[in-house]
Amino acid sequence: MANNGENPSPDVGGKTVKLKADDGEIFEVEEAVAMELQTVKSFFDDDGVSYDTVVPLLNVSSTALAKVIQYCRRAVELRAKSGDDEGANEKAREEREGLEAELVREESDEGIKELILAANYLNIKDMLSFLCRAVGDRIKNKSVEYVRRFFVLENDFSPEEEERTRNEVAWAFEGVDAD
Amino acid sequence: MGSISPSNRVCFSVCVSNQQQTRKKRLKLKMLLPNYDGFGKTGTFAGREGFFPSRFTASKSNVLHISRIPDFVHPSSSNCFHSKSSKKKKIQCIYGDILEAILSQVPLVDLALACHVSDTWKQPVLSSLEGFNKIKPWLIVHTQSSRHPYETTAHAYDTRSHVWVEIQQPSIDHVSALQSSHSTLLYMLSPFRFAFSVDPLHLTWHRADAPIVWRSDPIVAVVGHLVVVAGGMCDFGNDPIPLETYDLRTQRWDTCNSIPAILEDTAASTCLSIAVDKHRMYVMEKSSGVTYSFDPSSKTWRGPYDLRPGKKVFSSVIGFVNERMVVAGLIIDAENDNGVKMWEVNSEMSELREMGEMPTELVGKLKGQSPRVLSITMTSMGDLAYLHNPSDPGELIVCEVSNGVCTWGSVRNVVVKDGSGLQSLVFTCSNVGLADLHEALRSGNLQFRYYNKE
Repeated sequence: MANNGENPSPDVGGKTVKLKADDGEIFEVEEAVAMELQTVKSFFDDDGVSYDTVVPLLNVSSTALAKVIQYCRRAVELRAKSGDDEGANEKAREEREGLEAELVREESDEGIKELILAANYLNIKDMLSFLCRAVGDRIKNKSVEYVRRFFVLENDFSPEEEERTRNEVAWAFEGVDAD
Repeated sequence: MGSISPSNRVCFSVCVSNQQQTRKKRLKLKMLLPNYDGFGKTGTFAGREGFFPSRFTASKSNVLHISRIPDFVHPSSSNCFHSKSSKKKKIQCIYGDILEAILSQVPLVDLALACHVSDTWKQPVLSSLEGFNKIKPWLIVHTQSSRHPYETTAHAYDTRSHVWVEIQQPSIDHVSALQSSHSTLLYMLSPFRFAFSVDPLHLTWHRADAPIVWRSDPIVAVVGHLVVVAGGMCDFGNDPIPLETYDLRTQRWDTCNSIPAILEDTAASTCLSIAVDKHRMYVMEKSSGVTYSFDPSSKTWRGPYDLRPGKKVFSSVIGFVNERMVVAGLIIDAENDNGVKMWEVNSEMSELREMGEMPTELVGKLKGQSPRVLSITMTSMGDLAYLHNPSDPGELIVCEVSNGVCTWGSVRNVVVKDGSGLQSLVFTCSNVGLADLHEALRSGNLQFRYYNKE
């Protein structure tokens, strides 16, 4: 229904925004967090849209949205911590990198792709950036077949082309790292 | 035919059926925001290549139904989204801007493979190299054992992706000590033979007879199709050693008798710095900054030019960055501390403009274990200049020049001389592109492996 266990109620007094995922689940988030999602920001920037309006995010699953909100919440907190102090900035940066690493470490390939598409649709620049880096890392040093499976791509080369490539770059199909 | 008025706030997403191509496909559209391009960075609905809806209808539930022309909608193409209505397994396709963003994080060596993943990937791979993470020159560190069979190795630093790549290939056939005098040139010169290579990955070696006169440690440079061998030291006789040029096209040596006095009888590798552009070779005496240029086609020298950047500079080297001549100068100040600065030289070679100074902590890295730096070597290509201390090349300092402004960084050199001192390190800098990698891989006996410290 409205709030699930992973989505604690926001503090009383702050403005909140309601986001609806593809399965109808509603997430209530603090305004500052919601504005991290540029798509949502644009939605409200349009004249006369009140904050009571539920933002429909039909291309985002509830699992992905939950994770996005979780990340953005932490990111907003960390940004508040950093200021002019070099030491505090460094610490905040390290914490953010730790948060990003944790987020991608636990994700399956499908999960990470879902997050990338969500981050792209919701237009969250920083999140998209580190997710792209993470995917780039996952396909580094892997065989062509692995990459095809990861991205769910068909082999659209003609048999002759494929044969020629295999002969020239045989090892590319075996890969270096175990798939 | 229906229409949607601007005041209707309707939600839309594009759903494309994941079934095999059928004669007719239904596409459901629900509009998210009338003014908002619901596809964000990944492209607009109207602009979708090959997608031309033939009619719209609007139902009471504000759903647009579109009949399609699905011949353009290839099942394996990237035109698929999260399908809300399909009960089948969701297939998430990544393409367009997102794919380019991912590929820009992938090193060049893997991008060469990425071209083989799918035909639809060829364009994104190329675009990802032109976007915010542009392709950059590689610094290649070569070693050669000084003991038979004189095995050689090559490790390349991919500046764009900050990774070291080991280039596994057969050892270069030995002629003599491996050397480089500028950019991509690698050569070996013995009394009997001369071998050299100038292509980015040194796949092609030219082998010729040695020049007519033997001399040790000469100036060697390749300008276009001509190789210049000049100066050096000869123990026999007092006559000046002729300058010789080798024409790649005719495969013959020719001689020329003039060479500026200052360049005679000098050991090129320690005392001189060499740079080339399309037409000329430039030779600078490191300690004085005096520079001469030579055109091998007309066999004419020009100079001397005084390119010493200032009194405090006690050693300078010359190179080309962004096709402009630069001078890197090693400074020693009143407190006996080292510094390094970069100057740009104007086309008349009459003026120098200071571009930037190496940050102190990087100068410290350049020093390594030694109390001070006595000389520096510069290897440059494109918009990069790599500087290192030949006595202690543990740290490589990279200077990126953009719009006449220097940005400095450092790279730890993973190729270190083994303790026995039986290896020599030679540095070249090349513009390596996808085509070069494809050609290298096609040769069949070359592989790239990411360097692992373990």
